[in-house]
Amino acid sequence: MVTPPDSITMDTQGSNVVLQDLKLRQINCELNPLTRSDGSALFTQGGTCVLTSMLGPVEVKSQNLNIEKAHVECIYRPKAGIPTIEDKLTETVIRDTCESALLTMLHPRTAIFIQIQELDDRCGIEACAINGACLALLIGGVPMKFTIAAVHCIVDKDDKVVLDPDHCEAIGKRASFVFVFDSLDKNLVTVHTSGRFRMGQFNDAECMSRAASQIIFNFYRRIISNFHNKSLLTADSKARNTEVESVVKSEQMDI
Amino acid sequence: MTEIVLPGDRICAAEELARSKKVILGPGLRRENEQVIACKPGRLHHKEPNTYWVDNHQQRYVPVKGEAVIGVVTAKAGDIYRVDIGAHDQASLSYLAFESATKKNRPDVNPGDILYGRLIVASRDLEPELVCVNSSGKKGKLGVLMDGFVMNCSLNLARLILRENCPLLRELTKEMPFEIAVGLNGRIWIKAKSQRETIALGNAILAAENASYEEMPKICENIGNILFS
Amino acid sequence: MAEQHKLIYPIKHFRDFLENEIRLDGRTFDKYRPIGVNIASCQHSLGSSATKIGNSNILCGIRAELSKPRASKPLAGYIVPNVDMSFTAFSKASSSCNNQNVSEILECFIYRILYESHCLKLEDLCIHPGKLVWCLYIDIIGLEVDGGVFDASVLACASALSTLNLPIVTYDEKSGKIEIGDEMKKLHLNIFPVVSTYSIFDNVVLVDPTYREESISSTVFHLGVHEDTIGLFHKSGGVPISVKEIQQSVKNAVHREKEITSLLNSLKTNQ
Repeated sequence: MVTPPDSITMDTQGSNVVLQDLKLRQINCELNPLTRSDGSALFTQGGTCVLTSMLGPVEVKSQNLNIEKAHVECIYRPKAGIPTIEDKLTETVIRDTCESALLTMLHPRTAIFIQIQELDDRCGIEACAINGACLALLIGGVPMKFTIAAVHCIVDKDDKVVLDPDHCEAIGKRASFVFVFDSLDKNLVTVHTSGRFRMGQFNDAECMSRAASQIIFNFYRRIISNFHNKSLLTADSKARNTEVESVVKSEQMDI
Repeated sequence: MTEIVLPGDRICAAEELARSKKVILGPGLRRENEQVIACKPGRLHHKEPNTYWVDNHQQRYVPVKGEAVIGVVTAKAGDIYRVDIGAHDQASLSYLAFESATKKNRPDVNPGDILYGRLIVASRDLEPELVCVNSSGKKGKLGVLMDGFVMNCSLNLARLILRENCPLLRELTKEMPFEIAVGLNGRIWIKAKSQRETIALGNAILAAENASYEEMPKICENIGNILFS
Repeated sequence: MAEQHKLIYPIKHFRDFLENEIRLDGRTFDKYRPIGVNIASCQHSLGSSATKIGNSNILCGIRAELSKPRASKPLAGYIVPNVDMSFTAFSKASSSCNNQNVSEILECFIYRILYESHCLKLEDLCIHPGKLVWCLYIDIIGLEVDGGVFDASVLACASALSTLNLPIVTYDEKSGKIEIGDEMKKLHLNIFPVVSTYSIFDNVVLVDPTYREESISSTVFHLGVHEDTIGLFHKSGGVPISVKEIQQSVKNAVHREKEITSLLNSLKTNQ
């Protein structure tokens, strides 16, 4: 369980964002639930749940072969039925996002595959899938430039910006955003919006998401620390991180 | 306890040191202009005087020159054998790269055989190449592995077993006689007297993955007790 | 010599140009390519448009069919975008694998812009609630693609929609008889959607990039702005960008939107 920090200082640029709203749904994950892949993660954010796995660097098909960098491919499977065009779009966004985080030029003539299986969508599946994919890539140990954190945000029916809503809050939403931040300068790797919104709302949503992304980055650091701290692990190699940890170390490093 | 780094973290200690002397950056670290940046998640290690690296749990083998690996011969193609070493590309192995092999006297290697070889070419732009002889043309411990049993393990475990101060193999030899070859590509070949012993050995080795050095003798003893009681 | 230099060091060649504050085709950083719009050019479709932005050439035709609405939304009609980017459209087939998803993504975005960004009310397509609605097939064909395929497709689609004439249909509930009148009615567009593409290379924002610029630059993003609202902001991967760069681009997009709407308005008044 992750308890978000009580308050996060941020520059709201004179916007009317209430700082107490800065809460993400509960984040949980299980590492390496799959044994055959090079890295996998079961990632949940509130009721939204994805299973992600990665493979690579592996052999590449000759049509995708790139002599300068690794070919990155993403496969997104919805909960039921065959992938629709919307899913293809999600797939492309995830692929592009992950590719920008990966150091693909270190493994030319290879391929890196990311597979995402949607298990349950209670709003914010794209953000959840990107976070899960990032965790799978971290576990798989492929070289990366930075880690990425995706945050979902909506403008609800009362024209209010809501951070990481669940499906009840999202009924009648006017617009939705997915922001993906890098861990270095917290700049925007990916922005994906739908619906119509004002620039002010965009700024508010961006500021809130940027501050909230720190929660996800802290989560990554804690999970990876647990994964590498063998003394904390049980004899079976699965690192079940769902249990509550008594001590949350000071995760934040000066970077 | 050393610290855990994530990709993108700056390693200030290494940068600090670099101002006064040369610093060696091992796997998982990169230099970007004047900054030292981690590119893999894991535990940051420092070895005096000037070496830094990140210990990473990568699952997929990436060939490195000079490493000994276990491979499976998949095909014979003219002058070379194709060997699967678990990397992104199959390695090639010339039939002359065996002890006392000549054009007339070909080694007896067939698809399906298991080999213990050393990588002499491993570059990101070239196909990896294996040899089964050392630099003086002798076979040493390399070559075809007969009988026995191959199992997969994490790359981390393979490196752990081969570490000089790791007590695992020493302790296991106290319990029973066996042969072992550890490939750095995460494959371990073991040959013991019976199937029972082979399975026990395999389990002991896999159990060592998450054990500390102090716990290893206990694991080995347990295995011995179960086998011979 | 210049040709070889361009071939061997494409990025350095590009950078050399940018250092002199000029782009490969002689434009400055914030200059758009000329736009050409030819509306109602196809005889057999209800609304059509051929759009050119620089060398990009996109054709859009709209067909309409009568159909039964979904039970869950008895008032809503359908819009079905269909994008066809043939291989001949991409003259520089250097990164063909990159292009395979373009049409699918475009279909998705055109639907989003039209419906989710409230450019068009699906209820306006209703003839008789629960019984009969219009189904608009928006066919977009890429004849030539040289960057800005988003901009051109949305412009083609929007200008075709603004010329769309639907016949007035009456539906008799008792007999279920459909009568198609001779009179035509225009479809009301709430907002005329305009999308502008920007690319970033070495922290320089280039507006309306060509295909070459798109493939060479570190990131590309699309902005759909109308007055003070944003209907679409899509940036997929690439180098991370800061809020400052976004705000600069949004300002730019607002100007662009005004330009294009005034262009379209003048076109319509001239007709």
